[in-house]
Amino acid sequence: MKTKSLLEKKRERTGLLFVMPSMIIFTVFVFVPLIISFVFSLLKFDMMFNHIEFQKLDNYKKLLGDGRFWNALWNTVYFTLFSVPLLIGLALIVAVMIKKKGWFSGFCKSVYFIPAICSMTIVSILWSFLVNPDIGVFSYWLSLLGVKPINVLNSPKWAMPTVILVGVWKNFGFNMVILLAGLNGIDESYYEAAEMDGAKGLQKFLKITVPMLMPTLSFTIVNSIIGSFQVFDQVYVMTKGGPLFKTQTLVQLIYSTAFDSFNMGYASTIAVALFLITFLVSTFTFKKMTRGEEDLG
Amino acid sequence: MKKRLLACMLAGVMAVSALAGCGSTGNGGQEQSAAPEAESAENTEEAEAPAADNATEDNAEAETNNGEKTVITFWNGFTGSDRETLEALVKEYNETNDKNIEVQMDIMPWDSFYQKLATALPVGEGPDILAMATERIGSYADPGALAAVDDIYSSGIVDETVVPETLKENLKYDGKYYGVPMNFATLLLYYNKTIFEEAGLDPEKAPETWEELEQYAQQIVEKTGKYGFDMAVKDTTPMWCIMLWGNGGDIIKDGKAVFNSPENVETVTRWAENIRDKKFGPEVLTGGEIDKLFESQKLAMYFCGPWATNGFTNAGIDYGVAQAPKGPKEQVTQANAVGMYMTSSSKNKEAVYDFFGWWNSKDTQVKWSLGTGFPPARTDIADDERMKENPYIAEFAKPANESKMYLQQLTNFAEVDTQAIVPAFEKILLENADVQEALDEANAVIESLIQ
Amino acid sequence: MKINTEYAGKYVWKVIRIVALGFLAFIVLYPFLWMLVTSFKAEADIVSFPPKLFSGRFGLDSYISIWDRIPFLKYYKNTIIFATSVTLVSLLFDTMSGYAFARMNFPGKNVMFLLVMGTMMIPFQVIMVPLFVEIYKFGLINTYVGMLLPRATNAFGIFMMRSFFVSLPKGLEEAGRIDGAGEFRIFGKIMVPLCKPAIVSLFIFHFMYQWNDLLYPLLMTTDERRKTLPAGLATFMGTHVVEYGVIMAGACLSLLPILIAYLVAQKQFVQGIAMTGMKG
Repeated sequence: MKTKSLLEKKRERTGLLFVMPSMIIFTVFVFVPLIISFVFSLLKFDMMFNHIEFQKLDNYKKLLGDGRFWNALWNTVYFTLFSVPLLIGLALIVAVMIKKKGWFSGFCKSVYFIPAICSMTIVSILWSFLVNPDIGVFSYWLSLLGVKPINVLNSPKWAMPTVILVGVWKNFGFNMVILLAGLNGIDESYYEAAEMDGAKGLQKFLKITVPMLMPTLSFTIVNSIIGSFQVFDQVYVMTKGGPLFKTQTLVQLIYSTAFDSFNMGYASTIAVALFLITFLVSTFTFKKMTRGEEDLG
Repeated sequence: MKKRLLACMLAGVMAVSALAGCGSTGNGGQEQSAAPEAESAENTEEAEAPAADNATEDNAEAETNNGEKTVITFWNGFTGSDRETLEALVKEYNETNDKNIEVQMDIMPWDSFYQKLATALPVGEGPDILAMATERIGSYADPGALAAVDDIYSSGIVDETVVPETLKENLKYDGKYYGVPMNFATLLLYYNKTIFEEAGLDPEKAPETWEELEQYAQQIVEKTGKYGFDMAVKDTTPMWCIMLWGNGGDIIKDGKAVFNSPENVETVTRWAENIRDKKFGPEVLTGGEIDKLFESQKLAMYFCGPWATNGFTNAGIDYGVAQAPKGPKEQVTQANAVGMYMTSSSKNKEAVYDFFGWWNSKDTQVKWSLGTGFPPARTDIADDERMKENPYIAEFAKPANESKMYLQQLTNFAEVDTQAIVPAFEKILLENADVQEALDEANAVIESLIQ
Repeated sequence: MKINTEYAGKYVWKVIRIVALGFLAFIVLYPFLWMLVTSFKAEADIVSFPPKLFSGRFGLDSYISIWDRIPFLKYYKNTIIFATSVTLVSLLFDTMSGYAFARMNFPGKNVMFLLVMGTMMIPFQVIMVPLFVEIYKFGLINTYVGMLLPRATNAFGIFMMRSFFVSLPKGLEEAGRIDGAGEFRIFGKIMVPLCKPAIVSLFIFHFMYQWNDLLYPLLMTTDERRKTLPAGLATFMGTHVVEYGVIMAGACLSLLPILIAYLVAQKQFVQGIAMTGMKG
């Protein structure tokens, strides 16, 4: 038993005091509702919270056999698999390209972030109009190029890619800003040393930039994954999960189950499943990436 | 250390509860009571009133705000062009009723409306009055969120005899009345006269049968390259059902799912071919999209309700409305209605009933009708002189008693629509699925849902 | 010869860079341009074919009518109060927690930090109904306090501040302690002043998130008088009617404050993020 000095104890107490406000808020307003959600997931009750029936694990059994759940899960994974590389990749390439100073870079930097400060609802409305095959400007331009306009939001094939693109358009600027900061933190001397050894552009990028950016990259990637798993706004506004449920993501399914079907209990079951999946994927990804960091020392 | 931790947490919890206490009595309470005084000037109903009215309203409230005035809350989703008329009428009620009742409206898009209900109703924080489409009655009456209002009819506050037949049955659930009429609409065929001329058709003659409709649409597509006729599939007032009914088919009849009946297969095959193969129009559209298509004059004909007349007239479109073309078995159209309901948690029954009665009075209905272009929800004022001001009203009122309403009397109509019917149409129209198969599949889903 | 090809290569690369970035900037800006132009167009001319950006009648109709048709001013006020109060309180708590996680020691520190990060994985829809019931039981529905409390702290903010504090030099506390200052003093007089850029960045992140939030304020208020801008704007979207002109006007007006805040504080904003280093 290590005894602590009085001073240490005092410091520890202060430390606790500092985090107390946040921890209390989280406990009361996040963890408690979360636990209640867990409880809901084992129940079945109607819209007015009456006729409460304990379901034991039946809701979860139902979940495993529910085609709609697997469809939503698949859609969410599909969305994440494509969104994240685009979000990060685009952000990274752009960040590298505008690292230099100069008015043009500065201008671009400011501009690319603007979609991020808008509300996703407005963005979705904007894009819905612009891609409309009959009255939208983007479709019109495509038709001038000889491409026949398709009703992308009502096409089982193109709806999801469109939704993905809108999300990337809005959020890549956010990631770019963070990655830029990380890039600027890499010492020039590394590059100079490499150049003297004869390294060219791509090599410099792969051997110096990426590894040194790992901490920032891993945070951005995990953050993007979590965000993508929770995609809701643009799907809700642009396609409402259609056509043919091809864009119905997990959160959309939860929402629909709770508010269209009035099945709060089962909706909570799906929600718990989503939470567990997100948790597993994020932790796994994070571990993988930070292990890479450790290898470099 | 553990003890310290516990003490800190307890202190924290106490602090939060103290704040909560502040919220319910002092802080929150103050905010709520101070707000009406300061903010009545900015209240929704008065948004368009000149300053003088606000001052009077303020004084009136200050004088009577000692418990005698009854405030009833009313939530609805009339965000469209009906909004102004609705607000003006409610304002009139507030100013002229002699029972010191004030109706406070909260208007929000229907999506948000249903979301809020889902959280507010279970804890009793809902409004006194709700307005929503009649097909939703089941979902809310069944779990007990609405109060039965049989006595408003039996006592004569609302006259049962002048409610359109179609509407009457659908204001009930399980044999009891739950709603009073708020508005009533039918769908007619809107057609673009300019495009008709362009295609060599007589702009004053709308198609009267299915054959004529197909002919006209074909001609329009061939001669002008524009869309001839289309029906929206999702997020819309239902349009496909008009065709289904026209050929003697239905979706649910006497408690059984009949979506895959031979008549329906025939109907859907025919019109799917027209739309998808003969390119009468885009395959799958939402209500908003089809409206915009007509507004941009790229579509010549479609079914729509009276709410669109103002917008199209303002857009300068030369159009007409006609009765739905006659199908092989029937001439029928879709009717839809919004009713007003009292929540079971409401404590102001008398005030609510008074407002309901006022809303359904002849005068109010005439004003509502004129302001929105909707046919009245009373069958006895169609000939009223004042109605002649808006020529569309008479047209929309014509099919009132022969129209049908879509998916009523269910507790889960939304699910039936989104999980069975819409996917079936999407499969058929977008993926060229076999009609019988798709309808069979959907029928099975409907059966399982209405068990 | 050799010099020329190298030069040419660099030149080509420069041109590609400018074209690519310029094209991207165009794609980013065009929808906003459309939004701005549409807000000044007469509604009937917005839906036209073929769609042309600058054709049609222009006027201030949408802007004038929006103040009448919904209590826009009131929503503006509500949103400002909501966003500002949440941001300020959150800044305080996030900074305190970030600092403690970064530079102080106390039992359960690692577990607590993990829990905090865990909150980021919980979609709002999961806890929204229980949260509503909770706030209702506390009697805080429709109050500013009720809307503020659940958002009074935020995992992203804590993470950001923690990263920042971690990057500060080690000896700062010791210097303070030698001078006889207590922990609170050290925090207030030494640490906080150093993190101005980070605080500005966090301010913008939080503020814009609260400003644009639709679902949360909508749910927490059943009273029309507490409505926020996003909910107010959504009023113009119906199943059959989407009044683009007015929505765009409203959207432009809503965007204005955050846009200005961002452009003005841009330098500090970027600096702040840079200083956090975002080290895991």
